[in-house]
Amino acid sequence: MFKHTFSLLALSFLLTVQLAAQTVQKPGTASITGRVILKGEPAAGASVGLQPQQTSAGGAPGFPDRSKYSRTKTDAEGRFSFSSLNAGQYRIVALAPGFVSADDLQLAGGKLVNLADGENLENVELRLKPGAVITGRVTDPVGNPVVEKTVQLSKMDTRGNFVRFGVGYQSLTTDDRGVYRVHSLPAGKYKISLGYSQQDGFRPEISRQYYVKTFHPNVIDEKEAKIIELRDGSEATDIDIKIVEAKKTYDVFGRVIEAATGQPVVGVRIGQMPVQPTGNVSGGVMTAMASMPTDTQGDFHLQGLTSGKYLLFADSRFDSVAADFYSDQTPVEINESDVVGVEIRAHRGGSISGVAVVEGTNDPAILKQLTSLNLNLIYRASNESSSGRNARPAANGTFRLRGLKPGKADIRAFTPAEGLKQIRIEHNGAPVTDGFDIQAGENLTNVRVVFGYGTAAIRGQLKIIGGVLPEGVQVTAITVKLLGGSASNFNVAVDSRGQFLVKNLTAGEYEVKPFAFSMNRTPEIAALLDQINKTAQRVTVGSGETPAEITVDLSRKENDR
Amino acid sequence: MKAFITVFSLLLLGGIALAQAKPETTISGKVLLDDGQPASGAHLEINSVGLRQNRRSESVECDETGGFKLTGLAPGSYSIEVAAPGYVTDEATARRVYRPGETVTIHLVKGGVVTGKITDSAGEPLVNAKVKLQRLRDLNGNRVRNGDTSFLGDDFHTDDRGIYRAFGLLPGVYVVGVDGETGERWLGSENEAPTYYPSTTRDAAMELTVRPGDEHSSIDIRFRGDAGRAISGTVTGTFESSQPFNRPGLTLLNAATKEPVASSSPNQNNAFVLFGIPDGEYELFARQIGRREENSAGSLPLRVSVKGADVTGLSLRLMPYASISGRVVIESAKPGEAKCDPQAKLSVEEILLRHKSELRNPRTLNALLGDIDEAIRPTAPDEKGEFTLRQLEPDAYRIETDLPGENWFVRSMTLPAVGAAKNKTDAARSPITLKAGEKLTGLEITLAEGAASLSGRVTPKPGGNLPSRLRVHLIPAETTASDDVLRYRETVIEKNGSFEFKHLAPGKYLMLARSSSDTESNSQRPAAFDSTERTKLRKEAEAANQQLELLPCQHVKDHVLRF
Repeated sequence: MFKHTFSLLALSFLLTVQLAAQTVQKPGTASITGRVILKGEPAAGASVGLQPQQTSAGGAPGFPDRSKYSRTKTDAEGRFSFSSLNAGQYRIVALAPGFVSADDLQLAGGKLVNLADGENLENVELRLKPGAVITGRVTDPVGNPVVEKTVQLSKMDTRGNFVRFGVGYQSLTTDDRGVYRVHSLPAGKYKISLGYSQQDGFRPEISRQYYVKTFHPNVIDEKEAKIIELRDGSEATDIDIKIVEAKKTYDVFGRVIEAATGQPVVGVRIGQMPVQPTGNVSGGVMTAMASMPTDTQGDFHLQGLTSGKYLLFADSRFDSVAADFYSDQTPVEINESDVVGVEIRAHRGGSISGVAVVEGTNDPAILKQLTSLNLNLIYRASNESSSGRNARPAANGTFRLRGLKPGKADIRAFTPAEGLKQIRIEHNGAPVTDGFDIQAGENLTNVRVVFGYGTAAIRGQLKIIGGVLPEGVQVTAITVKLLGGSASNFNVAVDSRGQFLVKNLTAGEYEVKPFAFSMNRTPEIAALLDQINKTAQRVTVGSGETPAEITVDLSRKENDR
Repeated sequence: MKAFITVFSLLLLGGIALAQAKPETTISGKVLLDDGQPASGAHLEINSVGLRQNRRSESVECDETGGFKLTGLAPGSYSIEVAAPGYVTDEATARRVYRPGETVTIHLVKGGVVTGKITDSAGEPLVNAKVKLQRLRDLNGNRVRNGDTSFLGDDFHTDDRGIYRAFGLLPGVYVVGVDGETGERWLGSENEAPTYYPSTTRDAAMELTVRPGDEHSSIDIRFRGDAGRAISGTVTGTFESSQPFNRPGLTLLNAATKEPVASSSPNQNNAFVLFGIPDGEYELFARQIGRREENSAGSLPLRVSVKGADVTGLSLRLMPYASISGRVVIESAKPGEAKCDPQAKLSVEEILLRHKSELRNPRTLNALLGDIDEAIRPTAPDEKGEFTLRQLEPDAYRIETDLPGENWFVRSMTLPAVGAAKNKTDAARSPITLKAGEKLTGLEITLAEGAASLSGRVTPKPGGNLPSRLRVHLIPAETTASDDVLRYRETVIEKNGSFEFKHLAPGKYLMLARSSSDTESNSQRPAAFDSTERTKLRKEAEAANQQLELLPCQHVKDHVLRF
């Protein structure tokens, strides 16, 4: 039998130390065992990592506790085991740089499982195969090496489309000789390029010139790009890219004034949204942090923009100085030269102030969670994402959202899967059921955002029947929403067995729906995602754990055609 | 006729007197590569120095002649970083401070390259291993600061063949280490200590000298996987903050070389742990910088010995930092006194102040990192001349000034009178002592116009040689000034025997060239801070009898001083 040996480090079980200094957790009673398989054979001495995914109740959300990660190595039969585990969600991943998962694309790698107390999960198989390599050299139009710039890969999917392919945890940048090397790639057909094209959205760096996106070997049109075919463990060398053209960037000069008074607005940054030739606003908002705030005359100077159409606006989300203002979106077109004299008109916005409170508990540790939540005001109109504002409740729960544009918007707190949940919003004592309709300059007060901390839970199972999900489509989460009030919805992860657990719920009627995702959004896939994401299930939660089952029937779609 | 001429002259004079130069707002210049070629397309970034918030960070690209122009700059001091692919700024440029109105030439040198293969103890390539290039000193032998809140030194990762290529390296002396961490970077650290080139522990690591354009290949390391230990404990005295960048941080330094070894942040219960620490001697400290820097606190360094076992139960107490606030005052010119340059106007924001510790307290970070010049961040006054030097440990301090232009000198530094004393305290003569958390106010730094400058060379006795390390001292000749520490100056001569003094108070000076021991660096404590040393200096200088008078606004060049 051919066995692969990973002799990275000594053949022994290594576990990180659980420190006495931290809050002591009782050793758990669950366990996970399995095998690492390489090229069909058990892999001895392979490193396997176990990563608890959620912090315990009362902990600061968003700060993964890496000291709880542990590692172990497979034995001579390729077996690994983790024991004395507490209930919770874990990710199990084979740590084998240079190798890739032989299972179909698992987003973020590894297997996700929800463990219950005392559960002994067995036969977790992590299959690996050797990754492939692409390497080459990038040169500019005069033949000099292109140094410290990033290459981009796209990989062909089952329908023949090339979709952007991301590689984790390695450098895609060229070195001082212009040489790049991308490794640990799954077998398949690839195209490689370097440079910028307006369809990519905003550029990652600001400079006086940029390289026009060029595909190997030296073409701008993606259809003419040479396809690089990789097999397991193969190495494609001399995949050079000769940049065809470097183009100039331009500057925009202008002023932000308050429309009502003509006075300059000082200290506000300028946001840019590129507008595609088709008229769609795409690529998201250019990080407004990249620009200097307006000076005492209200003047601004944007640098490094490529030719094209943009919508500029005064973005006061990041600075407190101009936080009361919002502005109109101002169209600007750059046509191979600098643009001067742009005037952005700003207005004093409305505000919403009130208090965030917790119902159902007086535990100070839980009440403390309020101050780390972000209350987000989100506009319903799809092109107003940058008009949204957020605020953090102060220690006494009070908050104020300001600089609000007129329009219909909702307040949503993004809460982690464990911990406080937004259950209700009240204005002047009455429940808010359909968001806020903010009028120009209106100051709404006496708003209560109510959070609950319950002890009920939903333990659910997602089933997919009537077919298999196409390549690249995955159900990664379940969206949960409390019905009947202005609650915020939130997501919980669903593990590789389709199981999910929603905790800290207060009693009420909930809706659970799958959240399906794909990197490749062809119209067919978009329709499928839509259909899956509409498969809602109602669950009535009382106390304790309520079971739920969501069934997605893929065969139904075919019949509807 | 007469009347007309008189009026005309009056108008002319009036015109000149009224013509106030507008403050300069531009720094321009050229960037050249090491072969003299223009660095066309090089990327310049300019940052404000000395301000509490980085108010200005702007970038500009050089044109085909390597030229650049940074405009719209507010009065202040700036540092310039230049990046051209494969090139780095030379040492002189990296340390320099620039002010609006200056024209500069910046030289880039070729970055160094270090490449090699990393294997595990069985000889198999280690893929995606983190290789750390830790710069210890620059090519002049000066220790360099690598930041104290993260494990810095450039790091690069190995590819699927176990090969790494570190490029764009600043010239200097390095050690190369590979971390225990392999595989995906977001996993927690293993309990393994790093291995250094050529496959040893840190104390036996070989130093690598990287000169501009050097390429060192085959810098291979076989990772040993030595067991590292965990250091853990708690931090007390932290303040609540929900912002990630205001959270407290801990840093572990190698006690001998002061390199950062590991860093971490305590969890919500104020407990911390550092993994993978090899046996050895360390200094551990914690610090928390508040959003407004007013509520910043730090712990004193704690000596930690790791000898074959985890170290637990440590306790670090954060104590509020002290600060010194004050004002820069510009002495108005006395009637009849000519100004050096009527057109020039001092923008007080262009001054930089640095606190220098007297190193009285050996258990401070000042004492640990004191010989690293760059360790002290300067402070600039605001437009009213007000300043606050922050984040000071309990210690004794002297204030150093960095003045723009050539026309200004420091007349005095005073603190308000203490107790029954009538006169203000001379803050230049005696150091300023601060207790933990003390917020001292009222430091007044008075500047006057009319500074002189002096440059020249030291020549050996006929037939003799100059010793390898020579210091030139300026001592005020007037006996009334014998305790005016600000009038005493000293500097180490350059290799060619040359020296330069700027921002000198006009007056009579005695000059003395004295050999200093080889261990002294240019940033050592000036002899004049000590009254016994001052007396000694005067005696020797009077014996050497080399006098010089400097008039206001006089700039003496090519002065010859005999050794």
